[in-house]
Formats: sequence, structure tokens, C-alpha cells
Amino acid sequence: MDCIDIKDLLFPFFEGNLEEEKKILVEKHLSECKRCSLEYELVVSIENTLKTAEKVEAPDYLKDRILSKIYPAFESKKEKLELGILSIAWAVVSMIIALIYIPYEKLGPMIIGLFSRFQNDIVNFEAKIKEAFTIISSADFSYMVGFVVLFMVLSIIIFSVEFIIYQRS
Amino acid sequence: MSEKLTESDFLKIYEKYKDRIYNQAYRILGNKEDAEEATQDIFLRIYKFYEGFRGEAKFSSWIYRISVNVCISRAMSKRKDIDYLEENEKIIHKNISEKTKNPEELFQSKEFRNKILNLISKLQPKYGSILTLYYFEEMSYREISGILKIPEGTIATHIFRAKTLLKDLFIKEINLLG
Repeated sequence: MDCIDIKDLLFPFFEGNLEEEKKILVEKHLSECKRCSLEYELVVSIENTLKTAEKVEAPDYLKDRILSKIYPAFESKKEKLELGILSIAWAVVSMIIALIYIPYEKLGPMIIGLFSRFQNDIVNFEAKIKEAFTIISSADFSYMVGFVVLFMVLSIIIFSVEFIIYQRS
Repeated sequence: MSEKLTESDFLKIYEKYKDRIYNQAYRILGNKEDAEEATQDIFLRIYKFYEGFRGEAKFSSWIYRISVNVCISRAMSKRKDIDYLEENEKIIHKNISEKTKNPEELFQSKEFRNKILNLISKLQPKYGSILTLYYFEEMSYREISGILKIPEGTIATHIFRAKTLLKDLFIKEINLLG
């Protein structure tokens, strides 16, 4: 058995798919021939490489690209989602700015004052209206600031809910 | 007759098969640009032909058949282009050439592994397809035979032929045996 005969038997030899007689001949040749022995090492390494090859993963952006080609609505939904994220960012930034400009010691009393004032006026609608005019005419904007803060908190809650809904859909 | 795929059902299929399909395309075609385009094409076909899937074959076999067909036809059309060596391929080639004096070290190296895996894309695409199904998807001859519609005996012959070609291509490119 010479080197040319051996070449085609190396993979079957590795897999154990040779008859006993041929197997002995290959073993004998490999122990005597350095060149074929090296080629057999290559066979073993190729088998190991194929069996343990790492999987290449699909890039994340491919999903959006494919989905937007199939479902045109997906694109608009994605835009809405992006809009939702921007809205949340806007609300958070606004709130931070508001908190910076409102003196810390006034913030608590402002919010409490806003609630207690309207709570006491539930019975008397007329008085409530008058008081509202008084607040506006006396330019006491501390209530307004409290209201703005409350509005922003609500905005964050609303946009967060919207964000969760879109993410789940 | 199946119904049209809803977005949520399509997403389930996408999440389950995206990496397997992409990996197969990448190995057969040899670069990420072609693999991305092929993956996109495969999923568009899955969506388009889903209504016609009658459940005679396993769903996964049906998907792999689409995948193999797309990859083979893309590879065949690409073969007409100039055969160029990519930049990383040149680096691999250089590093391997430096290590040929010590084959034991060479065969254990990352460059060797990358080179062998890159060489799959240089084979005929039918060989590349069979190798990916057998080694990377760990399918049996029978499963591959069901997907490619060729006899099991032919699959075994193709796998042997593909590996022998990989070995010979490597020896020739690296001039391993002098």
C-alpha cells in the first residue's frame, strides 16, 4: 500500500469505517511514512474543527430589516415606540429642570397645599371658582408649579405604560 | 392549507431559526454581507410560501430546504464574480504560513480553524450545504436525505468528498507538504 492508496482511506480510518485488514495496513503505513502521518493529523484536526465549530449568530439589526419588508405596519409601530421613548426622555428631562428651579424647601408644601385647598372646597363650588380667580389674579403661581410637577409625574406614568404595551406587542 | 403567517407567529419562527439559518448561510457563502442577504431572502420566502406548506414534511425540514436552495443559488451566482481574498483571509493565510514549520502548533491554532471553516465556502455549494447540515446542525444522513431529496448513500459519499476536498484545498493553499 503506497501513499496514493492511503490518501482516500484517512477519513474512513479516522471514523473507524475500515475493514480490519485495511485498518492494519493503514496503521503500518502511517507509522512508517512521515508525510502521510502529517496528513492524517490534518484529517483529525479537520474533523475536530468541524465538530466543534462555533456558531455565527445573526446580527440584531437583521430582524428589523426583515420584519419591515414583510409587515409594513411594523415600521410604523417601531416609529411609535421610538416616539414613546423620546416622550419619556422629554418628561424626565422636564421634571429634572423643574426640580432644579423650584427651591427644595417649597416643593413639599406646594404639593400638599394644592391638594388640601381643593379637598376643603369640594362642597362649595362657587367658593372654589372664586378662589381659583383669586389665585390667578394674585399671581400666586406656587400652585401652578405644583400642578406642573404633578402633570409631569403623570406624563411619566402614562408614557411608561405606553412603552411597556408597545414592547410587549 | 396553512393560513397566512401572523406577525407574532413569524417572530417565533424567526427567533427559533435565525441563528441556524444565518450560520449556514455564512459558512456556505463565506462572508457576512452575503449571509445577511441570503438570510433575509430565506425568511421572505418562508413568509411567502408558508400558505402552501402542507405538513407533508417536518416544518424544520421545509425551512432547511428553502435555506439550502437559496444559499446554493446565491453561491452559484457569486462564483461568476472575481474570486477575491478578503482582508482577514489574507491575515489568516499569513499567520498559517508562519506556523507551517510546526504542524502540531498549526493544527491547534485559531487561524487553522478559521481557515478550514472559510474553505467551506470555496467548495461546491452542495458540499458546503451537506457539511453544515451534518456537522453544525448535527442531522443524520436520513434527515439530510429528506431535506435535499437525494439518497442516504449519496449523502455519505458527498460528506467524504467534501472533507477530502477541504483537506486537499488546505494542503494546496498552504503548501503544507512541500
